[in-house]
Amino acid sequence: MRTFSSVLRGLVFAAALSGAFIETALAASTAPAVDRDTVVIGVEKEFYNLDGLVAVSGDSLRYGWQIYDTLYGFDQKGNLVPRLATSLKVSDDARVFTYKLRPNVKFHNGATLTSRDVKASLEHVLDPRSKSTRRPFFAPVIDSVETPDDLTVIFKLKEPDGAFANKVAGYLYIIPADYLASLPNPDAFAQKPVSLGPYKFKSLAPGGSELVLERFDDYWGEKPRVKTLIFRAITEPASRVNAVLRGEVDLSVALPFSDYARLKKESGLDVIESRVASPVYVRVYTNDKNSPFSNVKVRQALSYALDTNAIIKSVLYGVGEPLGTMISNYYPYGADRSIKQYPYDPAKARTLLAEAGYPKGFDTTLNIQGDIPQGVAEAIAAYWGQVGVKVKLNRLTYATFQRLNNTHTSGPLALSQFTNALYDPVHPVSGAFASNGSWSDYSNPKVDQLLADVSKVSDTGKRGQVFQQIGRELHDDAAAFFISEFTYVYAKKKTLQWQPQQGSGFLNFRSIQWAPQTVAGK
Amino acid sequence: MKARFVVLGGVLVAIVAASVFAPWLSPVDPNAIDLSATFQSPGWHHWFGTDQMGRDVFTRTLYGGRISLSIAFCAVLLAGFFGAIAGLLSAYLGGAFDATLMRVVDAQYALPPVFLAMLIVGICGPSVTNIVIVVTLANWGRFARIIRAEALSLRERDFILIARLAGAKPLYVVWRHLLPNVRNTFAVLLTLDIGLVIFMEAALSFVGLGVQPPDPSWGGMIADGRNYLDTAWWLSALPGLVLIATVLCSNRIGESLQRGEGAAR
Amino acid sequence: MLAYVLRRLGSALVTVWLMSMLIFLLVRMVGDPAYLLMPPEATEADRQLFREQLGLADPVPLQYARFLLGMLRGDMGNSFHFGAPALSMALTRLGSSLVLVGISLALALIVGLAMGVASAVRRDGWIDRFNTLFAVLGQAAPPFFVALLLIRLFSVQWGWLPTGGYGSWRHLILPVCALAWYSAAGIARLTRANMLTVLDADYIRMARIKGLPEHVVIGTHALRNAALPIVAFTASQFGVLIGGAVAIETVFSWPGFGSLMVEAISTLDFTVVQAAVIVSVLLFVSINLAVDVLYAVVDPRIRYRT
Repeated sequence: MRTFSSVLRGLVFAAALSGAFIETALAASTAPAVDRDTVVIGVEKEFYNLDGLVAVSGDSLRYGWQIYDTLYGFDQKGNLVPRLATSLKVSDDARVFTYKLRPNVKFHNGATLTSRDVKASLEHVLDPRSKSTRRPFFAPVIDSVETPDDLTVIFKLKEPDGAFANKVAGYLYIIPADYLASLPNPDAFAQKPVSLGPYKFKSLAPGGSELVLERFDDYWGEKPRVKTLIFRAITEPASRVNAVLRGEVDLSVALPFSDYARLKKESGLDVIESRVASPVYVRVYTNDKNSPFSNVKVRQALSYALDTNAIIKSVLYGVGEPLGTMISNYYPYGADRSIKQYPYDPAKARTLLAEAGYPKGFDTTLNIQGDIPQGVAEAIAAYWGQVGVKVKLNRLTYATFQRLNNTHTSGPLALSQFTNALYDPVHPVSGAFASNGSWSDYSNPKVDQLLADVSKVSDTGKRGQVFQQIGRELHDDAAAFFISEFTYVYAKKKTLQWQPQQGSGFLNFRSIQWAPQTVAGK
Repeated sequence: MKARFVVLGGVLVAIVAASVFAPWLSPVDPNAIDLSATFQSPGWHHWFGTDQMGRDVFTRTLYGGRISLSIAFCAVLLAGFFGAIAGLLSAYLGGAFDATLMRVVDAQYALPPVFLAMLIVGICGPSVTNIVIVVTLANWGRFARIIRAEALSLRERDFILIARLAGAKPLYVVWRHLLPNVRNTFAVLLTLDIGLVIFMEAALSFVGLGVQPPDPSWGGMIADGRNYLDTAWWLSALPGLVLIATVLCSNRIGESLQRGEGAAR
Repeated sequence: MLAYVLRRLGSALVTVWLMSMLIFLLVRMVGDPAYLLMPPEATEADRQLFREQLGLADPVPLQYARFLLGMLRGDMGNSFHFGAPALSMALTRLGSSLVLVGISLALALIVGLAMGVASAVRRDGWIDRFNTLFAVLGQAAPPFFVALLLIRLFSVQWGWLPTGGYGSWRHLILPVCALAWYSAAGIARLTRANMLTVLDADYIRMARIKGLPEHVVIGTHALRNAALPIVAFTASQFGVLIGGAVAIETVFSWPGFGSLMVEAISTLDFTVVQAAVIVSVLLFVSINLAVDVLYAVVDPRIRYRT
């Protein structure tokens, strides 16, 4: 009897305790009070390396445009505009790039920008001790850097590089020379980065789960209206959606497409679909003469066999756009909207396959990894299965996939996606389709010739024309299978005024602000 | 009591049988997609509805059961067998053997299942065999430690001492005297373990290391459906219920067995 | 006893050392960070330069020797990604996991023991039925699934609690509930099973015949003898949850130890993987040593012959 009563007492106590918990939870505020000086952003990955000159684009795209600035930058549409430099002169042979710097620009630590700092920033990239992932973009190209006076920088290249100005705008963040020299080793910069962007680094939680940035009041340009930016890493997509639904974050990035329709119905939220000038495509190994994919008819057949509209509508929940070639329609130049994707025609696909000598189809493998919704690969397999091509899906971890891709062993097919960082098609196109491209197993003398032509040209109009020709050739030759324009879905509170950068996954919060004269809160 | 045992046993057998006879029960290809029939709620045509690719969820649940259950049974039996033997020997022999084995168990604990899976999958590639290996490796230490604990407290009991005084060989003592007395704990552990292993497979699927798509597994289906809890609850909930029912039945059966043992003694 | 503890510590160190070698080798077999961290445009020369900087270009025994010397100084290298010291990263994340798991298990132990004892004592009564339902459901539903439902209900639907993150006690409630339910269920069932066995034994009958009050019979005699496997089970749960609650940590964005290990290996951050595994081994060796010492206290009949 006594045992019974003591156990009962224990249970009652436990119940009371939980009741107290619930009480206090209710009493505590539900949605956090919104501070007009702060914006909380939910992002999908932790912050690894805060050194923008060392980290890969996939990491720096979240903070790069907040903390750092470059000599020239990209405007909302992706056109080059002056930032730290006021003018750029390119020699006729596209080998000498002369920048004139803006005077009296201050770094976060109070130092003033001079040409020495630009040189030091480049040297930081080239220094092997930094382990910079940007090094391959500059090391083979740069011959020398001259600083004749405090406000002039001259880059001399070994060979003409028409895209050099874009590289400088996309990759060459400027950091203070003296501060860098004062650090015990280059790795230390990432612990406490200093640059001259509109926001300065305040703190990073261990493990990179939360980054806090504060407005830099001596910024040379238009000062941001929001004082503090807090980035919270919420890797689980459903949690990121919940966070913005509940108002725990003011803006959520990279939301799953499956929630798009549901979020659009929320009255307090804006949902933004933004194309990032990145094609989702299937990379094809065409150089192996024994492989069916070396035959253009086979590639064309399989292009006809895919109904990309249906894939986008169902697997991607309508969030996407078909594209006919590697060059996204959202580049500021080089795109050609008249190049359309192959129409869905399975009968024609079967005919072409028979003509190519595969009336019964064949077996093949498609390598995939987690970044792209797996439904895309399954849909591709299903469509090709209908015309007799049996596809085995090989799901790899990101690390393995990268390794296979970079060593040209991810054949014969790999579902890939490409991040735009330069607003110039040269990077994805030459990488994927030049005969000596870093992740290319395709060889087309016409394309090689055009790429050689474009490297000598720095005028964006002319570059655009050449790229349009390349785009058409890639389409006609079915060099790869182009599925959709990669898209980011953002959700934000209606009272927050912000538009994403068009044609890029880089986050740009320089002009984010709360709507005036609105009571802060849900 | 007997009636409940029969009911639970019946449900479990039904689920297992359904998985085994899946191709006859539902002649549809579990991986056949139909993009025009996505997200159908459960109904006459599709008993469990369809998923985001238009695949029939009922068929996938059946086929998923094949994979999830075979992984579970294999891994539990392997881990239980090796773990229990190791634990018993360790308790009885003591000395250096015991010390070494327990340090190996410590080391096994130090590598959590998901991490171990990433190591092994990273090195050997993903496959169902590798999942079974990972789950067994991540699991045997539990059996070893707990059975050893039981056996240690039994070792000093009178009937053991008497047997040894009578000159019985160690293996005989282990088999005839220790084993029957740890059967209770062992049985409960085995049945607890089925659920644990199924959960482990689910956790592996959560990070993408479990059964590879498009092949279905219960854990994988729950993980995939988690983004659609609002719009298409049946994707996670129905395989989840089947999983819960299976684990529930096996747990309860184990307990009934254990009760029977207790009464007999 | 002292000799026993010292011997155990000695073998513990050997375990740590052997494990450090094993993980050093295994992690290098998983992949090459140069491919992951360098962009596709990098040439093999670029990657080789990168490897040299990370110390990966040297023969593996040399790398290990360097690592071992560093470890003795307390320096396990810097994370490839973050640049921060790997050991301090591992310890920080271990701390936050200890908070979560510690509280969850404390709650689970209280609830589980109470339920198990009550069930065993009042077998087949209404308390037993209720507890059984609780335990059975708790063990049948995968914890991360429970977590998703809890978030759906308490966070999104009713807005009482945050959906995730780390910082205040409010962030603890849902993860603790998801973890504790599962553990409490296991503890309750094991307690019940063992108590039932023990309550049948002769010495219990003796105690009752002697006229000892019921709560002494249950508390001192029965529970004490049934305690050993429960202690072992709880200890194993502790270990499992520290490193194994990755799914829960992901769902709640809780910066835990398990997710550190998983992230480190998926990003091929060797130094962090090594540091985390070594910390993990040290932790388990300590826990198991503590449990074994506890055995000797709880059950004096166990003698340590080694």
